[in-house]
Amino acid sequence: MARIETHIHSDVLAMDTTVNIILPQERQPYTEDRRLKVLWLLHGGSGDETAWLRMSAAERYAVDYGIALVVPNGMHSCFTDMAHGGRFFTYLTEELPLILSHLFPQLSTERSDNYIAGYSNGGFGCLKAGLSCPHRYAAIGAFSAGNKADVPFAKDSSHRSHLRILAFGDGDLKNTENDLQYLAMQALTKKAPLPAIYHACGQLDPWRDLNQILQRFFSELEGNPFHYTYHEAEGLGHTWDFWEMELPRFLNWLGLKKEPGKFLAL
Amino acid sequence: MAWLHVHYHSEVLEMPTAMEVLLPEFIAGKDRRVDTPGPYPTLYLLHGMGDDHTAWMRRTSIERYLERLPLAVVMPAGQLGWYTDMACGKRYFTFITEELPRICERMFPLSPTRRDRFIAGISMGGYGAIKAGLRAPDVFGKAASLSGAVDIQNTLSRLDPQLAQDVFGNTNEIKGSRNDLFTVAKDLANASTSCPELYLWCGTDDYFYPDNLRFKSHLAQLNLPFTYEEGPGDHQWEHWDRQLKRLIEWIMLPSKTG
Repeated sequence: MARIETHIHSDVLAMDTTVNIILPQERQPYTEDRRLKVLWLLHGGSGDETAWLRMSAAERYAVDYGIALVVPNGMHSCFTDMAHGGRFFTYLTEELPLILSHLFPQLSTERSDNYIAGYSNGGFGCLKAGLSCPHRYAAIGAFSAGNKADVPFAKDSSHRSHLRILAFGDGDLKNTENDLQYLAMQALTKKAPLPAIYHACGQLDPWRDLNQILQRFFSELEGNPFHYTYHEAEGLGHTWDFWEMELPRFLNWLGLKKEPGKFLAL
Repeated sequence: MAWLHVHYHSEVLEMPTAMEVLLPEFIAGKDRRVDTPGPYPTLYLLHGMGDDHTAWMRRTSIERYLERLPLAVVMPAGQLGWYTDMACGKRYFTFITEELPRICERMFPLSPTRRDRFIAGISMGGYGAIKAGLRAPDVFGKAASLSGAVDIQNTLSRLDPQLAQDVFGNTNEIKGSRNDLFTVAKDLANASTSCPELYLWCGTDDYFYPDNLRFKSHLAQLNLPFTYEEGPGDHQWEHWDRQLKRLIEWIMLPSKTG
């Protein structure tokens, strides 16, 4: 297992940025020239590219399941193209895949091998990315995720309001590219394969209601076109012990199998 | 360039280890980048005694010297192992000459051919690079030493006696052994395998200067392909930083041996 802190230049962001890569290492001699499945892991509002690696056992799950992790930094963007700031959505969904497929030829670029997950703001981010780019990701794992278009917005002097304006501007987000329901309806009209959606929330999450609004929307879609599944975890809130628990559950739900001893580990 | 801090696992060393890697960033038609998507020629750059894999990044302007060049650089950690399969310790020579290129060529877009593999180092790393070139001539197309400890017998007095014994075994028998660069150069000259192109630089105030002069004469006598340069300077990073620029130029020259 290799952990690779990768410093790159992004033309889209017009700056240098850091992305962490976890690469399972096979035992030698190398035989099969197998491409690695990839899980893109997005952080929440207070995180960066180190959050998943420091606060959870993500690397241990990656080696168990033999999947590569790509853990980028989205700053305060919720992985959108910010109204006032960097174009993190374009970076994440267009530029970074190109950069990484060049630097790490083992990463599979097949849609069926690429999944995207995140917690909190990264939960919104992975839903936005997956619904906007159904050609890129086969499945989405959204932990503690609501639709930003459902969040009441008061333009005031609070820090919360300030961050909302930086990422999304001060307008209504209904029927924009930051409205997950709108993006889902758009994806449905594309007649392309849709990403499967795994959605989970802690019962004690202060934004449980936002998760539930999204749950009602997806549950009411006829024929469940996104293979949408939702559950709530008893006794857990908007915290790492919940996200830690959900990561391997999501990998199991994807149908990935543990391959004990196949990859080198600490 | 993309700058990678890599924590990975070595089966030869039987432990996790670290390296710094610089890779050309390729995006077609963009400025600041190289215009070839790889796979890239690769320079394995070895640190000296007492340093680690971060030394080249911290002590030189290496990334600036590589700008726009289609060349990848791998800077591994060799601890105090003299890039040698230790008599009592880790197998650093096997690691550097076999496993490391295998891992890197698997992980990154690197060319897997002898012509495109280069190895260089300073001091202990100069010794390691020349030894790798002479003893694994089918792996590396070029090998270079800056202020290298090219006469290992003369260098023993600078080592802790226990360390010297752990690395090289009975130090009374080092002369004429496979750890003696004078001997392995002669062995290679007598073999049918073609020798990698060699490059030596040493400062004229360096304590390794006389050793480098003698090794240069030895290579000349054996008629092995080498370039020798020297200049003012002692055993210091300010000289190696300057010489690194020159070393990269030499690495990028078209290979004579093919």
